[in-house]
Amino acid sequence: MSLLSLQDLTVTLDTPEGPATVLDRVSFDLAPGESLGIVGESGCGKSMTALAVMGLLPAAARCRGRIDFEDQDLLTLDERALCALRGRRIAMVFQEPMTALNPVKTIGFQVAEGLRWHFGLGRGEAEARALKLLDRVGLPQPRFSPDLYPHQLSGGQRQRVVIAMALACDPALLIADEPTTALDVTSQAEILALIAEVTAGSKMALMLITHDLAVVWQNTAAMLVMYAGTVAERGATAEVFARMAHPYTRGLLAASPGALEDILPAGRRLATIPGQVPDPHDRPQGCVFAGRCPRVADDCLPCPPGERLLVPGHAVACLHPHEGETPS
Amino acid sequence: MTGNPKGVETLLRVEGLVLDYPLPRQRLLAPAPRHRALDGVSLQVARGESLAVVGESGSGKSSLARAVLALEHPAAGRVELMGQDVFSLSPKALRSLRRHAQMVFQDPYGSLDPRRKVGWIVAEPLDALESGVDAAARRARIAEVLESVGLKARDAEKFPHEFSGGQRQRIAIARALITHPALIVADEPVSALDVSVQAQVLNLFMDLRERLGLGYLFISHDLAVVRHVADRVAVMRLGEIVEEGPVEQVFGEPRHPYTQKLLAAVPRIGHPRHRPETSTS
Repeated sequence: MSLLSLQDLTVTLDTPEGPATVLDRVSFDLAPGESLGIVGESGCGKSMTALAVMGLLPAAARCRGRIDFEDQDLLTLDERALCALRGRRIAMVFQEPMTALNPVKTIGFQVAEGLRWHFGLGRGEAEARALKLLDRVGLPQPRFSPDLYPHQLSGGQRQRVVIAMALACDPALLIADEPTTALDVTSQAEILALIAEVTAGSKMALMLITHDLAVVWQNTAAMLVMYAGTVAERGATAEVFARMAHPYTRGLLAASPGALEDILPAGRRLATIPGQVPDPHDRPQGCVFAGRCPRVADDCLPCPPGERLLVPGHAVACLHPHEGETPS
Repeated sequence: MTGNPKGVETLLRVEGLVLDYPLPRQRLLAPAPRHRALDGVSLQVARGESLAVVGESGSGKSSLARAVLALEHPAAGRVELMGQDVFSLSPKALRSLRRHAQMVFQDPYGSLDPRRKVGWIVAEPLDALESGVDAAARRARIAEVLESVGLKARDAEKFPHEFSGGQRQRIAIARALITHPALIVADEPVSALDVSVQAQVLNLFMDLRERLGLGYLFISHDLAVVRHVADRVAVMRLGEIVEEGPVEQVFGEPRHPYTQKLLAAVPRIGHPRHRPETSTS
């Protein structure tokens, strides 16, 4: 029984330059207590997927398909019904904690806000619970008084406040959109460990969006690789890493400086993926990756490749996938 | 083409640099407290050498970059560029020295004037620092640097918004190259870029160094990036360099506990996982 199920979600933005397809038939399921990593470069549709689930797409967006969450199609709900879900059943941790927090409200107020709104708690009770939440995310009293303002905290501490806000109403789904991109490497490790700790062992499902393959490897049981609004490859994380089948996934891995165990010898260069993500106004007819793909063949160009199952739990949308193990 | 002083092997020598920033006054008449951003930093970059400075935010990396180019005035210490003490020079002499050291900033969206054409942006250091360059020579220099970073000469007629993030960073690098510098100070030059574009720009840094014999002071919080572009690494913490050495040594056998902590925090593929259970979705 899945908690969240996307079926052929297509999102088109109306822009002055004409319609732009930002998501193209995206489907996936996420069960309670599971974790799903979504990885890809900017413009691949990762954040659009998160915003679609939250019902926060821009007004110019037109959606087709279904987003089923707890047996309701989110695309048919009105704003009032979505407000009752946001923060209560689905919560989100954003990339930039300074803009996600209100600079003129105390952190105690902001953590308590969801409790007061969704549960109708009084101020005293909500703030007492906010103290417990701050403690749970590693901001203990009396050092981190609820009367502090966001500017009095470091980036990592602010992101802990955002996580406390997201956890306040015990949501069924936590969406973390690049939660550590704005943070230092040591804060990143602490925040990811905190997210793993609060979601593991509970029924809370996690959708973790990142551009860093290593973050997906460490933190999620299943993963999607997105490219230009489509799902290129999906499966159990260990399975995908063992046999990266899509040329884009392999390209991403090869271009990551951190993926190499050794230092490049003098004169050697990092592998790159030539070219750029196609313009969403002008998507190619066939496979969206064909223009940058080292394995492109004539049959890639007429129509987009369907997804096919390599082994149970590992699928790829490519006509000429790599076979065999991922070279290391 | 510019006559560098002969016999100078060390491009940059920093000795005992101390930099304070004033903080807001706590009371009306009290002296303003000061924050020590650099606390006795010493380092050297030789011609053609690449030194990376790593550390977390607040460790003083960017303050160091600014002080090296005499954009901040230190409380103590010396900075010698091409053998000349930058803080004792006259403004005119400093301007002529600045041709030899240029900077590349982190954010390719914020560092390019959106209302100027690329040709104007790229030529700005030339217009500011070198006099007597005629129009034809100026055009030729613009075309030369744009081509050396993988852009086209006719891109000079375009505006920054017509370029992607990676191409904008190439424009910023072209601007740094136009005065034929010996040293490039790059402050987090690839951290705003995507993985595949980041690899392209890092490769460009490596190409330019081999081709032009540039020295780099490369500032980054990303240890994985640093491993590939630097010969030596200096690890900064709270305004001090806690460890410095060749890349292989610092990454292979880090001695200072802070370096060990930084390296352990980098997520690595293949290392133990928080969510190892597999599932089928």
